Amino acid sequence: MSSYYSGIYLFVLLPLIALIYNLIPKKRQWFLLLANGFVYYLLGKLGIIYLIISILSVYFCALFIKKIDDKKELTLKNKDVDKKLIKKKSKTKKKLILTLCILLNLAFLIAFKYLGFFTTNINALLGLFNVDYQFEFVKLLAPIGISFYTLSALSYIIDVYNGKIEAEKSFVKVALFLSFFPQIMEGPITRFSDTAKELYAGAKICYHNLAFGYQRILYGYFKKKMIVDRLNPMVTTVFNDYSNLNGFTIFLGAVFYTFMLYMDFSGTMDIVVGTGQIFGINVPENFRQPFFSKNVSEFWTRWHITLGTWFKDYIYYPVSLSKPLKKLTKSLRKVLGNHYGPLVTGSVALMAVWFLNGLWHGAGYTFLLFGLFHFIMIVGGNFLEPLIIFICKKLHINRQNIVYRILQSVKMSLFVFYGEMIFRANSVTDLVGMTKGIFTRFTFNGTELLNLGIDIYDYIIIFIVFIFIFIMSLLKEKNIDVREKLANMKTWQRWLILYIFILIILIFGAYGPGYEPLDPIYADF
Amino acid sequence: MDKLIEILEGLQPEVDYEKVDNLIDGRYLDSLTILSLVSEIEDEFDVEIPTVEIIPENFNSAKKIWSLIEKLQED
Amino acid sequence: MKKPLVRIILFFGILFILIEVTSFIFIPNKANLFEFGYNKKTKYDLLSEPNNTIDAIFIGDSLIYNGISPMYIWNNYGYTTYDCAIPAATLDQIYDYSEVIVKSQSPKIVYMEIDPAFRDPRNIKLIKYKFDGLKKYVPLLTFHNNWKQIGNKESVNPYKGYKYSSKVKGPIKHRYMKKTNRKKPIIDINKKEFKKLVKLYKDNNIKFVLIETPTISYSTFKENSIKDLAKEYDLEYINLNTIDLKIDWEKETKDLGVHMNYLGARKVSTYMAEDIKKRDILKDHRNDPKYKSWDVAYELYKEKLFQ
Repeated sequence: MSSYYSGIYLFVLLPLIALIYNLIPKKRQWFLLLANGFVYYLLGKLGIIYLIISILSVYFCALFIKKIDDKKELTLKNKDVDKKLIKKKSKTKKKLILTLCILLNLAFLIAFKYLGFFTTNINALLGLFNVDYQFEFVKLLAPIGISFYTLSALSYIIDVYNGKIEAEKSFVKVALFLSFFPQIMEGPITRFSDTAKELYAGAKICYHNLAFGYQRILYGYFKKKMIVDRLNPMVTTVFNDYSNLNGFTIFLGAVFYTFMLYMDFSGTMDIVVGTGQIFGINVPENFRQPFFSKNVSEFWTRWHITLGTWFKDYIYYPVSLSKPLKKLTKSLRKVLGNHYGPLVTGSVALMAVWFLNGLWHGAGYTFLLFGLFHFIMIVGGNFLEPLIIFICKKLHINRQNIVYRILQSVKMSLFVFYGEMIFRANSVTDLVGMTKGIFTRFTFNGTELLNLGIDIYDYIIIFIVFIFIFIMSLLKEKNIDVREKLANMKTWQRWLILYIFILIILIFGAYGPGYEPLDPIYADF
Repeated sequence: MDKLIEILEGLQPEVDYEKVDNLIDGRYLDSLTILSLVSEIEDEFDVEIPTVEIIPENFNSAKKIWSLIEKLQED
Repeated sequence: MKKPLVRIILFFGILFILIEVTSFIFIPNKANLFEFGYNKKTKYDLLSEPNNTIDAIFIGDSLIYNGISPMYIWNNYGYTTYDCAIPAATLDQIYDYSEVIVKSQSPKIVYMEIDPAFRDPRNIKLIKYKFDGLKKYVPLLTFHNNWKQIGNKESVNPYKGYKYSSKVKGPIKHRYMKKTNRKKPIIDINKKEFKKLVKLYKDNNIKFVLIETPTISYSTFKENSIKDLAKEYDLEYINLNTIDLKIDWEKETKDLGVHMNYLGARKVSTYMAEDIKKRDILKDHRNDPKYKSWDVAYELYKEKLFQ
């Protein structure tokens, strides 16, 4: 059971869990969810130890912070004290605990994800300076999902520190929040206030939730079986053997990789959200039709939303609104005006965000470059914004015009394709080679496209599904709820549609002899 | 309140601040505008907006921003 | 509670019927459906080949369907071969499959992967594979890709039992086939089953050869007792682990050296085809119009491989 897409999980285990969940009393239902998360995690070998340490650390630190706060309030009631001093003292204490807690959690993340990368680089550096010493190369196998739940854990402790939420007294609630089983592998990165209450409350599974949940799961399964497993051989070939391929083929490889990543990740999220829905838990959405965005900056508020907001809330604003940068904004605004003034300080914060975003995805120069690329794209976009507004005014171009909007989205998509190409490239050298390939030999060769591991029928399916996904996204963008419509149909009509949908997956899905399922891409991060 | 609307219109004139109630979620104000807004509000109303308060719920409409300012002034 | 349950059962009941009906459309070679019945037909995909067209058979477990590609042999040698392989097969399963083989085909030679002789059919761990075996009852899952052959009169089976894999994951430890004099015992049930197997092929005049395809999990410990077994029944035994096939274990195996990926499979297939050639008992059917469907199948197979 290596992924949520496995048939055993979706069609045997999940119904079984749902059944048992319905049979046990409401007050004890949380226990099943918790046990499930832990069992699921146990399959990832030793990972559970780090999960438990993480849960324990944030749970106790949060309580500790609360205790300090309570004590402060108590002493403040006493009128004969120096209020400022007490406030300051308690703040220092709180800060100390917060820092320790964050460091502990980050230490695991760093040990698992970055140690290998750092040793390689330090060793290379030592070699460069002719130092006759090499560190032993250690690369530990990271427990699944560590990048995801670490961020969730950090958000909890930071929110408690900031007084945004109150420290939770019930250990179970904190543990549930960090280990809800569908979320362990690929997020979304939830906040305590998102799911904790619902997870603990428990509720009988109703037919409506079951049907809606499974429909959502089916949609995710559709994306995976129709697109991801079908495109994988083509994408793998392009990224491994680009040197013999035409520019167009390489470009198409980057486009297909982006499409595949989108289908894989959003499909997994469909399954996670769908599973949540079965149990009556609203897991936050991670995607909102990202390809309708106007620019790269907006794209990142619609793609992997929970990661983006995490960085915005815990890195971007704290950095850009820190005292020194705030001062800088104030003085720069006077000199550079209301657009370029904050842009300078904003860029500093943005740089931190994208550096960490790249690093979060993995230790490697391609990921750092991926972050840098987005940083440049977003800052560049903001930098040119006044100029574009000016030109549009002069040329009387309406920026709300549909053609202009489409062009904007196309331009944005091209940037995203390139960004994802950086992301997927095997190394920086390969990236340079591929980029050169696209720009120096951009010719089209039909037979080459048919020699990449997918045949003409596969291309046809990919095209049709692409159109289908596009229409579904467009409807969603226009606020037309397809699922509500489906639910309002007569039973036989709805069933007919579902049957057709299931048979399409069964017949045209990319599985069976000749296809290999790909492990979910984001589970590696 | 009028002063606040004036500031907002100075930063982003294309919005009807009396009506719109999804300034952040609807992407009327991007993060750079927020930076300007924060520093302008802090100057104008002599408050300090802590980072914790920079959340969509506090910035989605002019009314909400105003109540945030009032709250901070009381503190 | 009752009403939703009825709805759920009804929904899946109708779905099941629809799937089985669709499955029927996709089953290749319906000619022998009545002879063998629906159950066998879906369980043994060898039955998707027309009767008496396969000249050599490889029977065994995952080592066979990962290690030997009949289509590769067809393209380079023109022999019609087939992988009759069941994941984690036990000897009783191999015997059942063999009965189907001798009834539907008349191969000159059958190569059997011998690793299943060490597998205890009572082992509880095999239940996972039994569960996977359920898939066979929904033929659509195996044959659905035949939609690509709409327009062809008869749908073909382009993999001939082979399971294509492009995964690359080399072994951690490289020492294997370490010298030892100990012998891994073969349990009595398996000894009995093996005896039946030898008799079955002998009665049908089919040459029966034991092979061990390359895998890091093989050992001299096992080899020693297989040598005894081969001697006892006077059978040929080819251990490919002791022959240098020039396999690059780092790049040509898919799961820590246990199974070949498609690159490794080419080398194993080449060796087996050469072995058939040496015996000079099979014909090259490449220009035989009767075997045109093999060319069609190869076209479908080829598209999967970037060469």
